[in-house]
Amino acid sequence: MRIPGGLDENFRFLVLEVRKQVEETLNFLAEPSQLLLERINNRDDYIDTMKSLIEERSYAFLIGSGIDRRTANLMRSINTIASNLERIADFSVNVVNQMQYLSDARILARYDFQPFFDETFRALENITEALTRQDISLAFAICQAEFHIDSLYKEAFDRILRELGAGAHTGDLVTSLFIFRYLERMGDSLLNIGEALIFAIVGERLKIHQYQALREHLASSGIEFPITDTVEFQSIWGTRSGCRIGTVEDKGEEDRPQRVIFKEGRAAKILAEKRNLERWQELMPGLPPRIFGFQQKDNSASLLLEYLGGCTFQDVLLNSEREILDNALFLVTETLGTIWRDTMKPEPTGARYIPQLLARMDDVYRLYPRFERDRVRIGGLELDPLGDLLRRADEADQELTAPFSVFIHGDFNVNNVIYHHNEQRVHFIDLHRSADSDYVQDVSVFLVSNFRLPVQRSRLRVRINRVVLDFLRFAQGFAAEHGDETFAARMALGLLRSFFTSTRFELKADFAKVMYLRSIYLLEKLTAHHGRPWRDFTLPEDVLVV
Amino acid sequence: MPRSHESFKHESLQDCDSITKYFNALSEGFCGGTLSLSTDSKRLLLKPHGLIRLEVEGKRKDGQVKLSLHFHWSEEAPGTEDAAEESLVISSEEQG
Repeated sequence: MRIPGGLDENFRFLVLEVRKQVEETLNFLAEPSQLLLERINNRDDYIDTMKSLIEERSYAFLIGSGIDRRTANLMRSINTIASNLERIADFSVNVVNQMQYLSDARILARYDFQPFFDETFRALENITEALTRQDISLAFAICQAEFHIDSLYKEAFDRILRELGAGAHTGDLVTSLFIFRYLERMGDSLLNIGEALIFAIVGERLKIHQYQALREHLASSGIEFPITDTVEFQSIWGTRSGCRIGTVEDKGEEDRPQRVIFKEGRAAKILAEKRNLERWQELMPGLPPRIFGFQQKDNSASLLLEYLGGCTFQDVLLNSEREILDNALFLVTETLGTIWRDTMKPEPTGARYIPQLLARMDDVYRLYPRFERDRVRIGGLELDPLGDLLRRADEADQELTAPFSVFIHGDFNVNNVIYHHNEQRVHFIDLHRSADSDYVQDVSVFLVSNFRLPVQRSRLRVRINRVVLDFLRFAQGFAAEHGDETFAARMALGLLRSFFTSTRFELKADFAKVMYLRSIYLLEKLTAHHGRPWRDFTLPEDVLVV
Repeated sequence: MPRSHESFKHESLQDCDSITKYFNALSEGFCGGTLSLSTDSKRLLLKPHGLIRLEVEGKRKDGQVKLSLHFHWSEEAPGTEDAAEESLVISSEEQG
């Protein structure tokens, strides 16, 4: 995209000059000199002038003629970026001016300030390209610089604080802290720049949600964090904090910028998610998050999605009044019923539960090697090894097709349903696995995701049990209504799959065993029934309640 | 005689119907005088005989029920030094 009004050159120059300014600041920290100090101060004046020039020119351009909204947004962004660039140059001056208060300039070398500059350089280098190529990924990378710089600052801050505790060299330590504080504020300005770029590209004011910051934080602490796997994500993050639903209406929502989630990954996967989102949107407008941006570059792609506020079904279940929970469950079942009816195709389909289990088996055994069950003999009673049971269950799984397909969520756990009390509607998120498949997949995942909530026996557990059974009744009703005779047997498959694979996220060995034993119990029930008509299979519903 | 320690543990979830298989297997073991408990990698051969101390214990706490059956006997001939006492424990826990 071209930068209008002859501003292109001014803008490029401004970015370059700020980069030079930061570069010389780095040089100054390494080796201070009077000459360098003067140069930095002089350049600051030049940068101020250039920023004012951009401002004046863009206002002149805006007043000049009727311009379209997109260009107006672009001009607005350019001005925000210019202001923040100018601030970065100011912080550079602040940094070099602080150096004179150090008793010895070499003191700063005790701390690792280079990474602050590396992050800043990387971000500065991306600005022009992000704008001209309208590249969300680059804009987002600029936002990320702030999160990196913040964690660098935290490290420096903690160290200086510790050293201050020792009571010596306090003056030098406080000065060093000031210097790092200015470097940290460069990060704040970079975030403003990144957000202004996203505004120019997407056309809406967006706030990168804390989700990303958290992901960054986890990544930097060495924890693998697959952005698409909500289960793992939730096991670390827990519930959305402070999510308590009352009947009081939220106020002031409209003034806030739209919060977004940024996803980046393999092109095929991101593209599949995008297609799913579009299909959901077509089926039930507003059910999935809105797509703000999509970009594909070679084998990777990125997606900028609306961050849906409100509470997850899990939050509602654990925190809200009974009436609200009943209402949320009603909305969930109503929504599912509608989607299932609207997308039903009379073609037999199978979700293939046992291969899903097998694919995650190694992860389970890594955490719980004892779950790998050998053949067991107790006197004349012989219990088949787990491998044999699974092989037989897999044969059953191949026979057990659903009589029709519907469009399913694909990862329908309690954290992927968002409930909006005020709007009286639900939203579905994390739709990358949606497909035309067996609805029992969604039903079983939802049931087990309720079951595995870390709640001991208490009134809350009674509440979970009730939700589980109510939801099961709803699904059974749908099955009966549509002549689905093998529903119970497929539920057993789906549940045993989810119980088994859920243990890989459960660090409490006792509870992992509770789920594992339920999985084996269902496996034995199912394989024992093999050979008889599946419509006669009865689901032992006790496995779903504690 | 060297001290020995062998053990076997198997846990499963059963219902009132399926649990009878286990009782039958144990009952056959007591009748036949041999009860083998094994997995592919280890085997514990029990030879219940003579006098068997039987302990039946039931508990209920906050709706949780536990029923334990303990069988204790000695495999050594009476009077043998270091006579070791075997024990077989059967527990049933229920959440109500």
